[in-house]
Order: sequence, then structure tokens, then C-alpha cells
Amino acid sequence: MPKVSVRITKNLLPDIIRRVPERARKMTEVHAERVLNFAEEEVPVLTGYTKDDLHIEATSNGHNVVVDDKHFVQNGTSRKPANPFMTRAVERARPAWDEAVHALAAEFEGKG
Amino acid sequence: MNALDTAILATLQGDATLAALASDGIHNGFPRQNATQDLLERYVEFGEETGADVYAWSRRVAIPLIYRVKAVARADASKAALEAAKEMRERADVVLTDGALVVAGFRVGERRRYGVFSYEELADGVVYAHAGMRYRVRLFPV
Repeated sequence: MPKVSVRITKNLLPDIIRRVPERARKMTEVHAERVLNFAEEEVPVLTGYTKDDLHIEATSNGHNVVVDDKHFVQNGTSRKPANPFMTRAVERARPAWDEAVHALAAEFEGKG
Repeated sequence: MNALDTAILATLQGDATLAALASDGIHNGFPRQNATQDLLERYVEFGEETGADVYAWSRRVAIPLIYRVKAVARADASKAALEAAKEMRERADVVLTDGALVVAGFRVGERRRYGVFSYEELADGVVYAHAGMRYRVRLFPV
């Protein structure tokens, strides 16, 4: 039976494993800023309270765009229809996120 | 109503279990037409949130859409209301995700829920429990 052997002369995995979380965290920070900007454009303004409350929170694995009473505006109440401004903001920002992920993958694929 | 609205409405209304749970009906969009209309007690509402067509050259090849499907239950006992709303939501998910969804003029691709939410609203001393999901559907023109 023929034998195949592979000799690894340069192992990039440790470098990738070390760098990806750091880069990913930065990406989520940039992306959260992007979503926040779109959310500020999309949010309906009556008193301005919801818009003023929009902010970014850092978590152990990334960043979240947060607004405290979002359910009532975003998903509606028994008396008011939903205005899903966060969904619109996230979807508007999605192409830029996809592009950033592809760029990161291409960066690591291109090394070596 | 567009073709997907029609299909979702027919699919949800066609399920006897869900119809029994949602005694005030299944509605495309916000069910209350004016401020004087009585508030409903147990119902499901759904509606499109976003959608952006995908083109290849000048041909529309796919339509990814996000819908919100939400159940609402009114009760004085908050927990009971929330459980009732969640039960409707879970049934709606079973029907939409695992059942047949036929959309006139389109082939249905990926369809799944990708996020659930629930919350309670206190209005005039009455608790309304809301339990919903976001539902992603990809249509392909035929």
C-alpha cells in the first residue's frame, strides 16, 4: 500500500489562534459602532428617550448595541404596532460585517 | 398582502392546534385598527421587518426576508399569560419551520427562526405577555 507523509515546515496555527480573538474583538467593536449609527437613524423619535438610551456594552465575547426599553418600540405593545428599528439597523450593517469577515479570512489564508 | 404574507397566514390559520390557542385569531400586521377597538386577548400577529432583493446582473435571483411572528396573551396572572404566549409562539414555529410552506411564484429556500424574545407589558393594570420570534425566509423566483 502506498504511503503518504506530510511534513509541516511552518506551522501558522498558533499565530492564528493567538491573533483571531483579538482581531475579532476589534471587529465587533467597529461593527457595534456601525449598528449604533444605523439604529440612531432608524429609531422613531417621539420624546427622544429611546434614541438617547442607545449605547454599546462590551461583553466577554464582543460588543452589544443596547437600548433598555427596546421591546416596546421594537416589538410593539397591545396598543402600538412594532417598529423594528434594530432589525433594520442590523440588516443595513450586515454587508459591512460580511466584508470584514471575508477580509479577515483572506488575511490569514494569504499568510505564509 | 404579498405572496409570502398570504402563505404564512394560510399556513398558520390552517393549523387547528394554533387556531385553538389563538382564540382572537392570527393577523397579518397589527390587529387593532383604531384606538377605540377592544383589545384582543389571545392572538398571533406577524409581519415583514426587512428584506433586500439579491440580483445577478439584472435578474432578481433571491429574496431574503425577515419576519416577526409574535403571540400576545392577556391575563391577570402574569405567569399564566406568558406561558400561554410562549405556547402559541412555539406552535407557530413548529408550523412554519417544520411544516409545508407553499408560496405562489416562488421556491422556498432556507427558513428558520433565529431569535426569540418575550416580555410583559403592564397597561391599565392588565398584563399583556408577548412572546415572539424572528423568522428568516429566503425565496427564489420561479
